[in-house]
Amino acid sequence: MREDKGRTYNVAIAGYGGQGVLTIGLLIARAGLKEFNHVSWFPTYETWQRGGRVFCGVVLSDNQVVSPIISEPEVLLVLDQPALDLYEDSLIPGGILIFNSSMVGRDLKRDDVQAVPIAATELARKMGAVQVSNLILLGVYLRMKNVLSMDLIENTLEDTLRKEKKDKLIPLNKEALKCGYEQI
Amino acid sequence: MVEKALISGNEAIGYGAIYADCTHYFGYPITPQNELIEFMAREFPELGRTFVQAESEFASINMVCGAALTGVRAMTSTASTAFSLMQEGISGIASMELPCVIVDVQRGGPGAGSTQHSQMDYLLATRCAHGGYKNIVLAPFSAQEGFELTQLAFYLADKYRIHVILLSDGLLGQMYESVELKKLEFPPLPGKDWAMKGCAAHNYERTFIHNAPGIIGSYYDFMKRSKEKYERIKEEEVRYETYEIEDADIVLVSYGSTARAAMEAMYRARKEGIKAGLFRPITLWPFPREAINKMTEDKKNFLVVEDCMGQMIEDVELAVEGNAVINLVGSMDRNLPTGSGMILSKKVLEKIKSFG
Repeated sequence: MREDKGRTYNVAIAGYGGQGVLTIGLLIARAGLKEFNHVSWFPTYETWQRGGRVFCGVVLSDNQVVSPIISEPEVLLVLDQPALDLYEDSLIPGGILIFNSSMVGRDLKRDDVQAVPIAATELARKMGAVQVSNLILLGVYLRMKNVLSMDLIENTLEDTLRKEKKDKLIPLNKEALKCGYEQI
Repeated sequence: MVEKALISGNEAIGYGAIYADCTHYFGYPITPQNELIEFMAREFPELGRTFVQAESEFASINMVCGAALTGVRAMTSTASTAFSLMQEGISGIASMELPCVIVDVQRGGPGAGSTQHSQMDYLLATRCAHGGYKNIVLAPFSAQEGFELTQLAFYLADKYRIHVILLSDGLLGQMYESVELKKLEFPPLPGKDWAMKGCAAHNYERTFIHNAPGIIGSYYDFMKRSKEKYERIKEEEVRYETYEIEDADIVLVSYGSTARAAMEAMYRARKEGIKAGLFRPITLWPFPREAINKMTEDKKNFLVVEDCMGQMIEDVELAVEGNAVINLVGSMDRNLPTGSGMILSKKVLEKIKSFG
């Protein structure tokens, strides 16, 4: 287990419980397993089921993952302002910060990162379901970072929802992904 | 083809138990090991094996004891708070020399502590409860290794007729990693002629296993046998891994999930020209004392990284025999001073620089 040549990508996602932070992280990890030899998904959340701080980190690598615990992410997806307050500093210089501008009411502190504000909650509300704002941000991530293809994520999403017997949610979820993808 | 799965560290232990032909599981739910008991509840009955959700951890450890008495491969899993509750039962298991596997997915303490990860049970797992017995303690640092060490745990338990503690933690238990599911092969084991398999199996001779070695039979013989067993384990079963240790000026010593952050910090330090290395104990008992002691011939600077106030550091101190400086990166160095904070590679790197 050492850092050799080969691809290694990481992404961190943060928000509050109920926003689907862990869900889109797992989606990236599950899709990543079809493309990379080594994948890790690392969740951390407070004891409450809903409303507590939630964070997860995903590492996709050709080599064994050194640490699933991401100290300084390359890409950060932020779903609300407290998450921004907690994790803005951790992003590496030059990293990508995709944030839900519908739920962030301040300017960024960092000027050494690539900021991508997306009004994800508003866009999702227009679709009739604020619950898919996480997938809009995931769509943005797929477009910004050419690590996993849209097809791969869509297939994984379909598999996951079918397994959970939520087939009827597939079109809405795919629409949200596509919406995010087309924001850039 | 080897099956590759994206599973949690907890589930990896469950798979390990299945691949090791464990047939009896007893447990009670507690965070952060719930994924494991859930996995067992789902998989064991499907495979025709025994799953029992006991009424308490005290009951589950005693059920493990009863099952192990009959010679089957039995296990339980729990987390810190309830690992405490099991100590009386574990001591009883030790007195009867029963092979079994006990998984502790460490959470914060003392008391109910927190539901989040920690590494605060090191001393309890390695120093044990009353009666001066020893047990093997295995500490995986990835889901893959959790899967493999669970298989090894059952093998060692049967080889030495001893209980084995698998010391995991909340981070390791709940993170998902890609795991290659492959059954490990081990050398043949001695038969379990001591096991209580019913009158017919013993030609209607009476069999008797008891938990009072100092009252029934010869206490001396028990202690002599135990001592010889422990010495043999210390001789043959010490396991550890080293990374970039040859030319290292500062040696990190870390186990479990924390070793992952330590390893990342070590590689980051190397990129900045600091000669750091990592020593990772896999058996916490027997502790790789000699290997650490030998390093002190040319290495004088050690940094123990563990998510507690300092427990394994005591073993490192014993190992270096005063021949090196030892510092600690512990729970006070978490990124957040909350139950969900953790030791990050960034902090470990800072400490490498300040002590290096």
